[in-house]
Amino acid sequence: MKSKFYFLVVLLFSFTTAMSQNKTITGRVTSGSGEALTGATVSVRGTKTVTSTNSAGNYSIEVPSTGNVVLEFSYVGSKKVSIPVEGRSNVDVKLSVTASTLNDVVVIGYGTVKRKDLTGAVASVSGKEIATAPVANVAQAMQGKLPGVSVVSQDGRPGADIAIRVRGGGSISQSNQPLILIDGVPGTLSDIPADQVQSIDVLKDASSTAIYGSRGANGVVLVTTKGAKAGKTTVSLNSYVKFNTPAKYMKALDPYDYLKYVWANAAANGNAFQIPFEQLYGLGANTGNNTGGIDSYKNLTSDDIQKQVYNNSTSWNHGMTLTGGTDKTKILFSADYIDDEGMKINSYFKRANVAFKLAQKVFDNVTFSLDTRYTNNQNMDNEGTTNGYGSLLSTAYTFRPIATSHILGDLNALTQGNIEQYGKNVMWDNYSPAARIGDYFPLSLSQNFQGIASLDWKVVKGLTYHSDFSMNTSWGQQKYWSGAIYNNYIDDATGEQLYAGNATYGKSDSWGLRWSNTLNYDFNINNSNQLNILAGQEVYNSGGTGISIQANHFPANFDKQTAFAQINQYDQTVGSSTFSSSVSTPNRINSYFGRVNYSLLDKYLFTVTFRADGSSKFAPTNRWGYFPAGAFAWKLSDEPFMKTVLWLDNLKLRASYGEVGNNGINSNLWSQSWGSVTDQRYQYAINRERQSAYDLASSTLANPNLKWETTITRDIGTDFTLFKSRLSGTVDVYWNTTKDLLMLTTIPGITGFTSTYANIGQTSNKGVELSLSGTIYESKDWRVTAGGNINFNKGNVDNLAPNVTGLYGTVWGGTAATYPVNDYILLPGHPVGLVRGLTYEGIYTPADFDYNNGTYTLKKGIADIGSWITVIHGLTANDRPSGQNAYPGLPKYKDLNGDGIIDDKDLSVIGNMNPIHTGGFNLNATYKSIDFGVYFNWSYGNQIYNANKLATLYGPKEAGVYQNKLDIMKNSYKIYDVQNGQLVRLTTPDQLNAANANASLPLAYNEVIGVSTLGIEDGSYLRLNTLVLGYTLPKSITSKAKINNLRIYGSIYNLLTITGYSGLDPEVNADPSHNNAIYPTTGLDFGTYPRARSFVVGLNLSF
Amino acid sequence: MMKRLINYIAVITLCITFTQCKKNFLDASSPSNVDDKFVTSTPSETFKTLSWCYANYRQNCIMGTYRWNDPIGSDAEMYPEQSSSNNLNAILQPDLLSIDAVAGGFNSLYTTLARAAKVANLIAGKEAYQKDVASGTVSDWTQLYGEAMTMKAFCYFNLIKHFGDVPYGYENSYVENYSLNSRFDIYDSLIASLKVVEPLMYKLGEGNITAERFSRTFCDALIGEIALYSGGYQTIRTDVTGLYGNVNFDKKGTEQHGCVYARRSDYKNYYKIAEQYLQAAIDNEGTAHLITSDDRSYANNPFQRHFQYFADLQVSPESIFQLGNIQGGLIATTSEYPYAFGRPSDGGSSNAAPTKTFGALRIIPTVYYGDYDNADKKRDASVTVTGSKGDGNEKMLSFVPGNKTSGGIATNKWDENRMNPPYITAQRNSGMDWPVLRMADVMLMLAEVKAELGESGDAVNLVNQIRERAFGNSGHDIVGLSGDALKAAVLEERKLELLGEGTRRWDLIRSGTFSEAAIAVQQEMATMVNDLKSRGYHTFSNGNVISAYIWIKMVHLDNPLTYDPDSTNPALYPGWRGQYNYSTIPAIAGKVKGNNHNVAIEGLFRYIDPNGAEAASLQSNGYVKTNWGIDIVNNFTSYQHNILSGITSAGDPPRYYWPIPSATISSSKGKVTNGYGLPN
Repeated sequence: MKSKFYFLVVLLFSFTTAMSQNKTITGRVTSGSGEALTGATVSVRGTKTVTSTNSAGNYSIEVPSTGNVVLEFSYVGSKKVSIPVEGRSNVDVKLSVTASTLNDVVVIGYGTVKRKDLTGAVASVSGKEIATAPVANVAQAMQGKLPGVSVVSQDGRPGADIAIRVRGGGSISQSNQPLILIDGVPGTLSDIPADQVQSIDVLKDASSTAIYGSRGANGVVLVTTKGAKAGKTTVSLNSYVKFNTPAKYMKALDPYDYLKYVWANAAANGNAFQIPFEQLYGLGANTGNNTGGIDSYKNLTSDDIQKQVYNNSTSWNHGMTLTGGTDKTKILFSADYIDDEGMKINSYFKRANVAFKLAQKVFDNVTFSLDTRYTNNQNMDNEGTTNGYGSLLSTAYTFRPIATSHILGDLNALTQGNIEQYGKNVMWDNYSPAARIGDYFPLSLSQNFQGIASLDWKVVKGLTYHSDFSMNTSWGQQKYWSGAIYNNYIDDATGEQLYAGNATYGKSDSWGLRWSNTLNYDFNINNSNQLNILAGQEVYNSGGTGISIQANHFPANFDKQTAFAQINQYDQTVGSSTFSSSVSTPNRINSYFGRVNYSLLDKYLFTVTFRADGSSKFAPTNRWGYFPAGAFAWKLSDEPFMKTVLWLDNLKLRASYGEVGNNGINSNLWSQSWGSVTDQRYQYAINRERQSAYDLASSTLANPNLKWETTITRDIGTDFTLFKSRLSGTVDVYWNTTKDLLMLTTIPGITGFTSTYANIGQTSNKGVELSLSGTIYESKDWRVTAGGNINFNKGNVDNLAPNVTGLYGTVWGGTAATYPVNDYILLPGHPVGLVRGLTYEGIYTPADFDYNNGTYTLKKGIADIGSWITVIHGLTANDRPSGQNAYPGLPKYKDLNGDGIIDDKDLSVIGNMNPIHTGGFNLNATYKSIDFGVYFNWSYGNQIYNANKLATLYGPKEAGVYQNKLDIMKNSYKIYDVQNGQLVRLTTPDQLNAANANASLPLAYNEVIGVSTLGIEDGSYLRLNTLVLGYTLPKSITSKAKINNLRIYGSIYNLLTITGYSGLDPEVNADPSHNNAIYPTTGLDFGTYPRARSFVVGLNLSF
Repeated sequence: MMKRLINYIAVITLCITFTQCKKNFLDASSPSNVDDKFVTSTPSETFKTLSWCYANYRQNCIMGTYRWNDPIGSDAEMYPEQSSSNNLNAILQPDLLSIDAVAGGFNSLYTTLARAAKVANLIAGKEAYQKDVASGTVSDWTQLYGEAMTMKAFCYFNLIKHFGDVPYGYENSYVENYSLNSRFDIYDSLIASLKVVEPLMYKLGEGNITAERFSRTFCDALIGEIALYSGGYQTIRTDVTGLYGNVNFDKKGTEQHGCVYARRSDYKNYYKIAEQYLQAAIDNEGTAHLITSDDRSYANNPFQRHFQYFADLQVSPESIFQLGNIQGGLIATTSEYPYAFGRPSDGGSSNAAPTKTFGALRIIPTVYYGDYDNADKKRDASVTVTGSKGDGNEKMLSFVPGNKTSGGIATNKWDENRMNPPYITAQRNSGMDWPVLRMADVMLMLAEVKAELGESGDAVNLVNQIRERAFGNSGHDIVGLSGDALKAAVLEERKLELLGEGTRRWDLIRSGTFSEAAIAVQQEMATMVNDLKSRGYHTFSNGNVISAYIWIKMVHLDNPLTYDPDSTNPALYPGWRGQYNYSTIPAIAGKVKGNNHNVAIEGLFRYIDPNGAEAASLQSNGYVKTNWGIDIVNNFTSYQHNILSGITSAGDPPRYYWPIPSATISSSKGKVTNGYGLPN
């Protein structure tokens, strides 16, 4: 490596260029309406001299003092204008800018191309659009704006993960996240402040992604950050303050209904539960001083602990960019700080970001650039879920809705019997969800430094050599602390803290090196045959190390700072610790690639791409993958016979075909090696001492035959501009097939393994994307534009290997409490994301039974519930005949096979989590200096698996008994009723019928929850995602303060959602692989962090 | 022109340099992942791979399969809850099981044996090992090899016991074609492989091997056990043609659900192997032995002493193998034994006095009342009528179906009250070892074998060694028995000696008496319930009486934990109960309620007329009339369900198997199916 570098340096100095006599021309470039155009290109025809205008529209360029000098002016969205200098030293130009984006530069792999010359399917969003209404994560700003690109954020937590899917994604076991390249280097979108983005281009078909070979199968997101510019130094500031407020809370039972429900539920679980509950609230036989009994609680308002757990918060962001320079040296400096406070106690995302860019012309034909970025993230939040329950946040509603001061019975009952034993978390103020969340600090810290050094050498006319060397280093820290309340380290009798808490302390670092070299040759054979040839090579290497320590039971005088500082001071008599270290297997790629763009008569465009990738993740025989692609485009509107169609400005037809790969698997899957065991449960104990242990490094059976997952993409598209550029749009039809799926596959346990990775099966995605944008109205003061896109994607599992059952489960209720355990299924001929369960058909009523002496015997011909339902609280041995499970009030399911018993044979697909179409649309208006915009996005036809709802529809024992329930349980079937202040067990058919005339949900005393259509809901929604109103102060005022531009704005996020979904939010992606499910658990709503409605006030200032 | 040429040359040269990447650039590895050679470089490194095997057996194999249902599915033991799916296998209702009911246990047994087989192969390839084998030297290497092979055999043995005929020999490779193997072939193969390794293993005590590892002693016993199971009665499949090759069978009862109860006609050959190797286990006992004396000054119950070692977190000298465990830990190891099968407690899941004990194992009352001789020290150490309230107080158990202190009388062999001090921090976490095999079991298996082979004198002698320990004298020895009477006596002794240890159902199966015994206990219970209902009590043939009601009172003892019984004090009879003195543990002292921690019981073994003078007198002395047998009467359907309800006639083949999970069935191209009426 080193010797190569010296060689390069010697080369650089081995030639010089001579310069002739010059003079300087200055001027200003403005738009038709007189606005300064920033970044317009000014060049001297026939030379390599080129510059661009600064933010005031001014330029300065050196031209030969003799000869007929012609300046060429160009700007995005305008036609090139050529003006002879004719001896002047000042040349001002007006460029008429149209709405057309055909001349926009689109970033494609290892180069750029004008949109009009594009042969592939590429969707773009400009930095300007993203900056209009800034968000913490750039990905959020992409939502609804890019055809074929679905953006779904995890939920409302600060620093939420955001899933980006380009055309559905073909993989099942592997990541479907596209390759995200920030200035060419793999990175994370959340690391980039929105106002530093120049453009985001998403490559969607193989014609454009094949140049990324093995990493391109899920599409490629290319983020280009703003670069340095020559000219007057400008400073721009962007700041905002954001007020977040909960959009919705869960509606739980109010005090009276809570008492009625839980009292009955406690009774169903036995005296030991019922009596302390009665004593506490002064109910029934234990009224005590509460002579009014349960009626005393009528009209009492709920004490909703959810409002303590999450409520209003304030976030803010400040960013500054400074840029300037000369023709030879251009510099950009940028800094940004965001403090995004979550609505939940102890949740925030903070990011500090500093970037420095330098572009230095070393010689006339050699430019050296440096691009560095440092990011520092602090993220406090980890909404873990507990099986059968949810997260502390999402189940905060289960806490009693009656404030301690309103309890009318005997408060001593709180500390006795089963309330003390099982009810603390929902009954005791000091273990309330607010207290427990407030005592848990899951802090993650990360720092990332990235530097890119690149060299552009125009070797000879048309031939450019580009070398790009980048390195990045990241450091991560995990500092999780949970305190005495969270861990139950409190002596409840005295309130004394026995131990301070538990600590998890991890440190990790990772590094990446990449070097790419490309040669680009642009030449014309003659006027009608233009060629651009790119050839390149790239090596990539990355790795990392980590250490982790966990220790518990710190002495009571410790706090989290002291624990992290003295982690070996935990109490060794009761506590324990583990520590481990690891070095990751480096991920290495070695690649060669090439691309030929051929333009015939400027009407027929051909692109051929090829990449060869070698990856260290596969066995030597399968290391190399080859990815070819080809595309053709026809500028139909340039044909003579189309010239008569006056309303048509531009029409281009495109077609492409190609192959791309997905290598997103662990490095250790093709050979079986050993690794040290950290989990103490797998270290055997001899004589009470743990024995070190080696386990296999991977729990899957090694498969040396693993190879790439290959996606074949086919795309036909058209780009058009109509009505004098008033309307433009794109339509794409695609069909992607992913073969040799790299899938985690179940194998028979008799091998000693239960799974292996294998290339089996095939999926496909077919779809149509349409995007339109246009100017609706334009006048001197007004400009109204609108845009939108709609996407239809149909994913399909084409085939699975015969030994793949396709069954997998979330077991959100726990393995013993969710029926069926495998509540998801992959089915050939259907998309990924099918929920499997029973079909709910209503409630068993007494009419379904013969009633005799207290026993309900199911009538002939009515199906019984299978033995999977197990225990139903409140029923005694005498209530049902031996062997029968059904009882009035229990849920009735459809007996699909008609065998009289509801069991595995009655399971079917009950929900499809995939939308029929998704999209977004926006409307923007400017009136003089006022700008206004609304941005909508929607999803239609998808269902949601509402586990939060199902979790309230069953009756876990012990700790579950005293929980409050969702409001819907007001109308659940009753086998107890309150009559004259006393709780009465209803037994006869008449009693049950009378009490349940309006029952709409089943009795929920069963310990096992059947997954059924009761939990499947329509997830369609239309969201007014963003509303922006801005005002740019007139130049006449701002110029006095030497301010170039000052805009103040207000915006509202998540203003309105139209949906029929009963949960908190229909945009669901909280846990795409719940409980480490082997395939995606799409559409599961369980333990989500609610989204905020946010009000923003901000300003953009530059001078 | 020249400049352009130079530039071209430079660029081309540059490009060529990039194509010359290091050839092995793509060979990436990490020092966190090491190879076979590294992990077997020394004996102590090699043991680390077996450390994982033992731990995986503890974490993933022992629960979910036999340990959960074996001890609750006999004519002596039962499960306490009504309408639970936890005991479907125990009550022999396999039709109700779901196919993947024990997929975790099945797969983990194979995972463990596959790993052991891999380790064994690696050791076999080592020169040092080969040298020791060639010279017949017992070394760390031969011990490790033997341990790995024993692990493999032990797992297969457990697979066959619980799943019947299973696929054999497909471990560690990707298979597309596999089928069921005859259990008898697998047994033969396991016996043959263990016979080879056994002479080169350490006896207990040699080479620092304790009963927490597999020793020659255990390996000998395992060979004997496998041979005994191969030769004994069992339910075999009749729905798979040719499965058992040319093995002939003597059948019993009726053929149903594609299966029949039978034993191989040449069973005696296997009993002879069993005799040889069970004897070898006793001869090679090393540091292990039957505990026949009690070293404690405050108690004299050598039988209980064995279980006290577990509570003391020590290795019992009577153990041949006990699975090592550890207390506490960031993530708890599986300490299910005392939680699932110990003396019940209503305590909370953490910081309670003591913490919760579910108590899945209940003793059928006819056994407690009718089978034990009142002088037998095993009774009180094995069965308890009281549990813990969780606040430092003893609590009477109830016969109302349920768990913890409901659900009936329970096992007393594992009681966290007997730890010193009890682990009060969290339930399921006390860290007692899992009992697997002890000397008394080996001796009584040998007695069973000898009784079958007609060596009556030796058999009687072995049984009497066990009885003399239990009674403290030879006054209760069996004398002069032979034939079926002797076999019955051995079976009965095993029942009382090993109650709650998961052997009773297998003893019944092997002896060919399972279904007869099931019907017998069902009838005995029905008779008892009828008497309780009609008369308020039932008298057993040994003179003991169970009554509908008892009278209890909370009383104070200076040391609330009790030992040997004292029939003059109702708080000390039965013995081996009470509570640990939790007020001495500072972290929990605040939770201890009251001062009278012990339950005094009247009327447990004799009838007290609720309307009589004695009852009135007891009540005036603070005793409370408490439901006892009446709760069995009121909940008899639950008891009927939980006591082997899958057996409805003495000719039924006992269907005690678990289903082979769906992944193995569905990939077998129809060659592997579940029999016995299990789901497919």
